[in-house]
Amino acid sequence: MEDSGIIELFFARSEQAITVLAEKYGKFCFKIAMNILSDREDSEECVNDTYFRVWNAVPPDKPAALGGYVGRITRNLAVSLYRTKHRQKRGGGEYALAVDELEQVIGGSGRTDKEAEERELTAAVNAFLAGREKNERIIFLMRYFALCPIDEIAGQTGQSTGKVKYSLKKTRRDLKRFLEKEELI
Amino acid sequence: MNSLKLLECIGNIDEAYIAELEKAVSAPACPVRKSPYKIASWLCAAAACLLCAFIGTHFLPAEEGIEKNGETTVTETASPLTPSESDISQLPGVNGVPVTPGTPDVSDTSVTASPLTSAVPDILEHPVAIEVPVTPETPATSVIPAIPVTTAISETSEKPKTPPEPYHIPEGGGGDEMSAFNDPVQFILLGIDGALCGDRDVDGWFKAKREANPIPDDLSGHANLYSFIHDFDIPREEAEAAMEYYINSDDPQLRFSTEIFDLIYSENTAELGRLYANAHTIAKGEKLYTPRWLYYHTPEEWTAAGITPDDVESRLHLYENIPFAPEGREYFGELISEFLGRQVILDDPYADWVERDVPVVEAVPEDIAEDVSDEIVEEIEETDIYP
Repeated sequence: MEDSGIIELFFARSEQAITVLAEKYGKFCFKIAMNILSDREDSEECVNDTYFRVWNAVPPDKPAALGGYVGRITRNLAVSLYRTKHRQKRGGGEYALAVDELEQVIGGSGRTDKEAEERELTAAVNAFLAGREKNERIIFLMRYFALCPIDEIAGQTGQSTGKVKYSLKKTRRDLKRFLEKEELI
Repeated sequence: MNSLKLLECIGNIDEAYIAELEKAVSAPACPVRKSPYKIASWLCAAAACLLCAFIGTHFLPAEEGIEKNGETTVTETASPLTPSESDISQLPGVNGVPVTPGTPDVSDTSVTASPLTSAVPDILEHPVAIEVPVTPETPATSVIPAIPVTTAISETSEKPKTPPEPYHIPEGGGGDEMSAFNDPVQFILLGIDGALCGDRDVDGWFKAKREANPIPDDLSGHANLYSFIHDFDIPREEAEAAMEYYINSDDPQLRFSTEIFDLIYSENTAELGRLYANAHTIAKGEKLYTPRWLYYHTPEEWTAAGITPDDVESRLHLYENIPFAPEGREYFGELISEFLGRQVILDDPYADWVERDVPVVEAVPEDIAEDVSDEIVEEIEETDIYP
């Protein structure tokens, strides 16, 4: 079913909307959650929470890209759950690895105006991504949005792991330069 | 701000990008398309192995010696095993002269019965049979030899010195790293799918292509999908059926449209080149001038080909990113400087990341190394793209 049809079901408050949403985007959401949480039960819970959030938010929200909308909710829920569960110490899993990798890009900074900083940074990342080749962008987001392992990205994109790593390294380097130019780091 | 914050901000990016990601993640995994150069280098390596095996089994004597015309040769024995003295003393030796252990008769070199010595002239007379499958475009060894192009371009070339090796390929590398240097077209026209190869002599075709023109300047001279289809005279229906998987694929790197086939089969190479030349290549009508072509031609020849300073100037940032060997980078910079009439130094963007010829881990300064997780160092090491 097309996204517009699913959204119509949500607007009509039809419970079938959840079923169709799960059929179309369930795997994607579960993959993101599982990559972050590394726990099947937590991931399923996270995906179910996503459906619940969508049910509550649509309407009034009318997402232009439903896949992106649910993916973002799942990711944020998973990150939140991860942080709750690993409050004391960063543990294993792709999330921790991705944090380590991005440490290269951003280092540390003393800025404290958190919300404005986050907005600025998100806008900058959007602008940066807009200027990348689609293939590079997808590899970058598979790694740092969906937290996919390198070999999975390689398998999915039909490239060698070496090429994927090289692409990620190059994009990280360029992102760092971009953020420096924007005086965000 | 820290990396955790950045990772969280990435979670709030534009939904359009996430939707794009969702499509990529949900699509069936892509089959790995091998670069034609990688395929060719594998085939060449396999051919070399077979040849070695052939020589070994047919021309090198076995442990017991080879009997020929009723005689057993010992002096040419290539067995790794050491026979006992009694074994040796029982052998008749060369031309019937007994062999004494420890005192090999080296004075008599006129052994006529040795299959090895008889094979040598044959091999020497037919050097093609043991040709090492290394050409400028198919790096099968760790170092690309100096390109024998002086004869190919000597009539017009007035370069004061021989171009150095433009690049090195790391051990086990297939040469894909230098695609930007060598290949004139985008990936979509570069790979030749196995389904399209079928039973055709792809290896021979690659070899002939390379030998005929090591520095091609058009689509026909280069090994690519266009030249493959035309050289083998493949009907359009067959090509479309073989490439069905890629037709209108969601992946822009793999997607084939009927328009590409239209251009290929209309032989409109100028339009094909205009649309599908890669960013490093300067397209001039039917001519495609790759960095490789520029590297092996003089600035005067660039001008004669209609290449303008703007063409080169606008690609400097791309040329910088080519993983040249240091001497190749310097040489190419000199050529460009001469052409543009100003000093151009092609900075090595990777120089501050990894020092060449130094193991990656050692190349990372200690103070930085502390901040770099083992995982990252491992990733860089495994990438192995730096010589």
